[in-house]
Amino acid sequence: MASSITAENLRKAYGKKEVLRGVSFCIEQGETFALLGVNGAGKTTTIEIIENMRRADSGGVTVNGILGVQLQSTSLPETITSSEAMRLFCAWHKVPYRGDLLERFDMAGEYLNMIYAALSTGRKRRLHLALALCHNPSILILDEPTAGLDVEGRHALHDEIRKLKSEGVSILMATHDMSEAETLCDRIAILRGGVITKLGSPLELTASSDIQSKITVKTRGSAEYKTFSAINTADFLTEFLLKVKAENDEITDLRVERADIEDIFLEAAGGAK
Amino acid sequence: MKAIITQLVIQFKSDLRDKGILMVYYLVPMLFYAVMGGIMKTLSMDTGASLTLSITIFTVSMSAYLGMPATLVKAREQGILEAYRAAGIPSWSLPFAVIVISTLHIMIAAVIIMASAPYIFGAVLPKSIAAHLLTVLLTALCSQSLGALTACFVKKQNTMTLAAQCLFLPSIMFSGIMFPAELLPKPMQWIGEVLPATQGARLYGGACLQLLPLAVLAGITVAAFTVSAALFRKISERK
Repeated sequence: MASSITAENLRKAYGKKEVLRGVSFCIEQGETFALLGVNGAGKTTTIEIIENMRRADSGGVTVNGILGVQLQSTSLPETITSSEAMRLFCAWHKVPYRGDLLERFDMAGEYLNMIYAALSTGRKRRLHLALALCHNPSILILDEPTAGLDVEGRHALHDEIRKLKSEGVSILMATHDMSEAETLCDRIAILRGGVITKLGSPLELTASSDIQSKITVKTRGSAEYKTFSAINTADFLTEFLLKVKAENDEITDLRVERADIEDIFLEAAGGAK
Repeated sequence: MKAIITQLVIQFKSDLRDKGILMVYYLVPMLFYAVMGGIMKTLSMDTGASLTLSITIFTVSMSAYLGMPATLVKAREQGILEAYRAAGIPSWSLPFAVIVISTLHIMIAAVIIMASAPYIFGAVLPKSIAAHLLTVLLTALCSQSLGALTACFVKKQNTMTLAAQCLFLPSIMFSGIMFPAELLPKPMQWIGEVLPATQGARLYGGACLQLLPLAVLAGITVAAFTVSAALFRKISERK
């Protein structure tokens, strides 16, 4: 499968501070890829280099496709209406007016002629996403797409991202939201201090972790729940089942709490949950 | 071409919804016009062509220094320029649209003043309406070139408000539109000489366009717009 974006050994310093120290990854066609990291980890710089908004000191980026971009801190003139903004963006991209996108992102009706300053944060995000898609990009870059949104707004935007993914759009998103990355993305790269410290699918990342799983079991023969910790959950459970069988006992309840992306992120960042 | 026309139309429409812009381009100049016209009429002063010219130069200076640059600085401060660039819209399109539409606002206000002053305050129409409007246009472009240049050096809106006063107040005080410039101390007269308002007030002497003020205005306009464009390119290029 061809790569939509390939970043090779990106390096960038602001003065003496090295923000990126050799970041490499590739995003396959139709893949949703997350860059996770704390503030200052280099997410936005990486994204801006890919968007051609910033120049890397060394390394290179290859983009195979048309880019659509939603910046982290983005804005429009306060008194422009949603329909005017769409008309403007479509005119510059030489495509017909995309009222369908405004409808799709629930920006039609009363919102169509509402000025930008009067829109809520959620509506502004929807509008920016619609504008980023006006020229049918095959690759979408989203920088903190759900920052500042309420739960409802976040869910609505997640649904749209899933729809775009099902349409085959490659998506690169930078986010602080672990659950967002875990539920929406095929692969996640954790950036720390300008380098990728972990890269893989959410399952691969959690499986490769050294963080112990918490296993809570109740057997017919015991009055209370017992809690165990194990790094290799499969080995522990196999052994535990054999032991229970050997004792002629029976498991009545079992709960396994594995490390999630937040644990992996904190492990990679050297913190604790 | 279609894109830039669309942007100009949208810029004009969105400006008309902006109370701040309406205030700077129309409301305050018209209030000043009403007050000054009223005073001149009450004192039975010769309103002749001087009222139209004074108020028009005031309007030009206010719009070019207090209105247009603030819009540019706001666009930069709020990340609008970056959003346009990220979307593949050329960075120059926004300042271009802002300056063109600002010029249009100035011309509309100038026509309102020119057309209404004879009826309301007994002022006389300029001998040549075309020459009068050309004077306004050239003064507006020259003033806006200085406004745009200032906006290139300023990153914050509140700093822009202060910087704009450094152009606006001398334009009003030293250009001779409020009182004769000859009464001012020499240093103030010298400062006045390089201001578009002074040259604009001299440009149309009632019969034809004067050559020297025309040359000064054209020189300032070309130089300031050239430097502004170079600075703006530097501001908006990849970091």
